[in-house]
Amino acid sequence: MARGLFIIGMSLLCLSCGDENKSQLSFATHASTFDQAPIELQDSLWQSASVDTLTRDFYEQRQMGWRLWADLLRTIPSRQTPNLMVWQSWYGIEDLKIIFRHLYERLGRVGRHERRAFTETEIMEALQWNSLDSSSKALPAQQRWERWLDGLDLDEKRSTVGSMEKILFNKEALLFIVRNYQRLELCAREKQAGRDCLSLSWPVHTVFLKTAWRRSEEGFLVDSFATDAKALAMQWGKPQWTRDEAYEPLADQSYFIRSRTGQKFHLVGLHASAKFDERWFWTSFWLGKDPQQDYASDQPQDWSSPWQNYRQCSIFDWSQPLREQDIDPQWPKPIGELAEKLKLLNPAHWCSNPYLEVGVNNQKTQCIGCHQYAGFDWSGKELNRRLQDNLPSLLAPGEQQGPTDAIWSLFSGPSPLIFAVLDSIDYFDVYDPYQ
Amino acid sequence: MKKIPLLFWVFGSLFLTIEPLLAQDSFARAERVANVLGIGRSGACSSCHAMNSEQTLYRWARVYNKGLNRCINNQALTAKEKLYCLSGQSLDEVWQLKPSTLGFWSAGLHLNPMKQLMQDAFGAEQAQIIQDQLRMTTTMPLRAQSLLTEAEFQDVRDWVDEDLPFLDELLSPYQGPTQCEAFLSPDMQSHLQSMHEKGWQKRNKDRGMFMFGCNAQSEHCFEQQRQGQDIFPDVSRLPDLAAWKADSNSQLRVLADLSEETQYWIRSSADGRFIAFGGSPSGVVDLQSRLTDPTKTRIISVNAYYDPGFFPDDSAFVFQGNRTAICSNSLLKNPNTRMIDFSEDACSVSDEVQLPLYQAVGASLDGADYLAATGDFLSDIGAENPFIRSNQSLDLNASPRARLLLQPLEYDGQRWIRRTTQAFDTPWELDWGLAPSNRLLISRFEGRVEGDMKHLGYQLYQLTKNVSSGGLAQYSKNMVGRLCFDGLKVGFSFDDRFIVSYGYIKPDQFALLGYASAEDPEFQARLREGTSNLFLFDLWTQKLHTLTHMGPGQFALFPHFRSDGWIYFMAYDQKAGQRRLMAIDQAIMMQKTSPMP
Repeated sequence: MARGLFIIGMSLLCLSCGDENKSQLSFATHASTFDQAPIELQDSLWQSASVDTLTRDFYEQRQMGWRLWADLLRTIPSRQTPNLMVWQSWYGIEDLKIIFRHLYERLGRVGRHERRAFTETEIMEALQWNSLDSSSKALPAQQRWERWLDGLDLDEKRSTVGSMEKILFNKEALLFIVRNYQRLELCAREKQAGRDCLSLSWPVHTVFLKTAWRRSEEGFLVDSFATDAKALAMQWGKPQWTRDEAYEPLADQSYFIRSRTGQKFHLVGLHASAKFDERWFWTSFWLGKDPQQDYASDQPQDWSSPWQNYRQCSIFDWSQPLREQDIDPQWPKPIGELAEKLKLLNPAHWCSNPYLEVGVNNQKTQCIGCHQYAGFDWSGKELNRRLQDNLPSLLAPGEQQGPTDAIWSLFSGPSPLIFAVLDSIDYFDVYDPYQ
Repeated sequence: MKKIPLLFWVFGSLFLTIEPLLAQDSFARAERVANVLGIGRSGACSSCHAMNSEQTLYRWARVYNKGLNRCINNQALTAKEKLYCLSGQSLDEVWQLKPSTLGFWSAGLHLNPMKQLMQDAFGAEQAQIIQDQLRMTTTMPLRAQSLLTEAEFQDVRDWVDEDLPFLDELLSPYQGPTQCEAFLSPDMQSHLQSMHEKGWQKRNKDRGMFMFGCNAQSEHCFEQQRQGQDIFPDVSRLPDLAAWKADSNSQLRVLADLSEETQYWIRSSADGRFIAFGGSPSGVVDLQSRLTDPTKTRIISVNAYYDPGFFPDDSAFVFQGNRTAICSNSLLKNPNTRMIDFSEDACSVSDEVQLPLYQAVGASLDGADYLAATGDFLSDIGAENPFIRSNQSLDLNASPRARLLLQPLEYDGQRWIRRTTQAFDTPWELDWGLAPSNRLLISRFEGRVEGDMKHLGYQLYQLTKNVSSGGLAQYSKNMVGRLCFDGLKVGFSFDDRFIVSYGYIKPDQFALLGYASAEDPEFQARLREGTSNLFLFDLWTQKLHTLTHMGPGQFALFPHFRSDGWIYFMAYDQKAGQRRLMAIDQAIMMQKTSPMP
């Protein structure tokens, strides 16, 4: 395959960032021999999650968030340098589309007609096949990342207002989709007909990741949002997230990539949903202007630039530990101040990413309040209407939960994941009778 | 006796005094008209029309005068008859005005006498409704904030009545091209090789794009049958159409009959499943319904007017209406979508994505810009435009002040926007085409030959995006070829190798169309009744091929490629009033017979 390869001039945490060469991704075209499948989060991360503690302890929720981000930002061991990060090795919708087509095509006409389930052997073969390019060189991680990156601008453009994010997911998520494609198809058909479908439940250790990028240079600047206690209280009084200023981040102030034609994109937000036990852990990660302030003040000491400039908020399911929990004087002062503010909220928890949660009142939300409705046929306008006119309904558990277990991107948005499955199913449904 | 010379002297002096004054007034009026309309400068019409073209202005004046003398001032006609006369319709048809039958009248439909005529013909209430409709589709300048005032239009009328005085002074003297000298840079070989390996055709194949009508391997296309009959029959099995195929080895298939009246271009999605057409209303044909429902072809109504365009990555499409709209293709794939009015979540419509008309779109292969290329253009409504169809009076729009506008479309993280437009002076060039890769541009260029403006050929450019050390991006274009063949606006294949064009028959094309002489009766019949055909230029072999052999009164129009190399176009049979959506595989044949290494 003649896809251009590229290198990452940045490795995480352990390097001394600060010069442009190290904090940018460039598109050099030299050969490399990555041979990894998507890298999963470490077992130790999952083992470190105590559901009981996460339910009761605000500070532990935050520390869990830092551990998760550290694992996602971990560089993949490789003979090659520089390296990709774990999250950059994950699957995107294009991988799902290609893998599913590969599997579905091989079912044969009868198997497709019967919607036969894929065997585990078939699935594993397809994953391996996807890890090989057409000339049988093993370049999976780079290919995946390159394929994803090549579509970065394109997919974001097609997404239009309200959905500027791109979705990545781990192997658990992909396996769930291909193992349950029949059920997901039925659900999609029901939804197309305007009917409800049976709820699904993603397996434990499923992780979805949403990314947000902003351009700079060529007339673009990156918006900045202060998120200390005082600034946040002011944001909550405004109609929506409102930038404080726009700026050009310095080389050590953000993680950025540069396209082959020179466009500069800064990673301004990441949002992860991870299934712990039967419940979701939500953590959102965003770029701040100054290092290790406010929501980054409890960041582990071994983090280095540019990641020191990233803040995070984390919540676990519907738990609101700050309802009962006292503020520990051992917590960094800014975190204590933020917790004081959060205690005044009803509900007493909050997590909103200024780069991802656009729209009226979205700066007041916490992930789960909206995600509980995932799978309902809400248009972007409908969601905005609810945010504007009925915010409380998006802050408390609703009477009816959406059918897709908190994952909107399965059936919603301009490019829902289910399209990657239906694309093949629809094609063969139409053409099989003519073969 | 002495009084007479005195009187002569008095009147003579008066005349000598008044004449310059009249001339000054007349020139001032001509300048006012030029300023309002944009003749030789920027004005109401110059963003869409070549206002430096004598031919354009005289043509508009001819049409205006024809309407005035034959229709509006014809006392024998009722108001309604005058309006039908103007539209060239019979009274049993639904009255429908088109700009091509109006000339300068199109800028005064909202004013008297047209306004009064409509009120007299249809009543005040209905006239208002008609006025509102015309404002959206026909009254010029289209999409402008304001229309011409009574006084401005009166100036225009007076100026036209006096046969466009001072037009020469308003326009520049001719210094343009007079011939076409063919060449193709050797650099093109490496570009084509590169696009063969990683262009949009390859990229889409690697991404697993299912091509409409083909088996999963995309080796056999349009071979589906129902009850033993081809669903997409090859014309060789249809006696009335069999002669359309210029090369008997090619496949030329009928994809669908189209009962809708279309206006201007049609274009298809990269996978070939959807074909969009302009009209009132516009629409998108879902060809897949031909396979799933033998009784009905699914057509999605679109609240737009014309100029559809699909991005090569199969992500989104553009349509031009009151404003430019960009929508995700997922909207078309949803079987519940029956109508698109751009209020859908999947659509972006705002002044920030506004593009000039007749755009060609592409997408870079490395995650950089989407691009729209626009410039002066010759608008072809589709075989109903006598000025294009007639070989005697081609509607030539090239001008010395023509400009190419490159409009990068960006997503800034929150919304679609059109980034800073980059303009290039491109004298005498028009009808810009953009390769799907954003790396090639092509224009038609015209020049004066023996006193007349004529199409001379095509100019091919390589387009490069350069980023300065300060991060500022600029496109530069470098001419890499001049192709001397006839035709109108062209389309590139998804590997950049082929250029497909169409053109209305001309007296010197007898050999190109396979006739021994211009006197051949069949050729003469086509000249008489009009016809248009498709032509394919292979940049790799540098050969021109004729793809179709349409009959008299039959027109092959608006050809464009889908991702795998099939060419889609519309065939219009004027006598039968029948439009067909067609596909031909000749470029794929050439990829096989003259493969790239």
